[in-house]
Amino acid sequence: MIGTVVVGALIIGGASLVALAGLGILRLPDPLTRASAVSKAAALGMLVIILAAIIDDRSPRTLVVLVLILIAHLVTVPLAGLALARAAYRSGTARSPVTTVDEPADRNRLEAATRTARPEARPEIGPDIGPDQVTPDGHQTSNDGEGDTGDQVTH
Amino acid sequence: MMQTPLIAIDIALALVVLGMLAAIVRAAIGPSAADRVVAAELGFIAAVSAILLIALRLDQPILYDFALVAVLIGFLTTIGLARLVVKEQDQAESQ
Repeated sequence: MIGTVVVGALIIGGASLVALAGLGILRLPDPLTRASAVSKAAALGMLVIILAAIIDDRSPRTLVVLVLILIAHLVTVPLAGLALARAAYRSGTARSPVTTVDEPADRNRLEAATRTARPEARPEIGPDIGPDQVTPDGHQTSNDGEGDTGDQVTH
Repeated sequence: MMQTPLIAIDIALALVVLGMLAAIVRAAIGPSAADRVVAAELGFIAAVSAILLIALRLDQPILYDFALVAVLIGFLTTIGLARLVVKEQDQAESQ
């Protein structure tokens, strides 16, 4: 009797989470936030429904199948959510003004600022030469991408 | 023996259908291709949830096998659609 109540509550709760993800995909402003709603709320709702089926289960054979579903779901949903968000970001769709965090652009901007602040840290542009070879104009160079002054800093 | 709560499963199926309808609406009106891929992912999750609920409702545990296969296939579908969106965008930029 208590099992019936628990299973019913879990089923209705999980289905409510799926419906809530539907509300999110309709109301949220841009593809990144919609991908967030799907990969969290809907995935959690399905997880709760699987748990209800495991509690309601009566034979060992279906228990094995349900645990396999649970494991497959837990492994695949984060990867699918990451692929969705990457696709939404890289396809360059318009972001809403409320979506202010943009970590890849922030990282690029930080790298560009670092490069302009320390121009000696820029990798040497020129023909690809081996390590510690002497160039025709007499300079000894290293091919570690840091340049000569970078070596002076590290020593 | 546990009595499966049929009325709870009926309510849950109605809620899952609401989520599926929202996914269909977003796939129809979604302004970008990324919106439609997200809507496809939500529709897939709602469909697998509906399969699980129907298996409980009809007391047919063989339907759990369908849900297992659907989870694995749906993951590949999502990855493929996401790559397709990015590839289309790259081609549009190179032209």
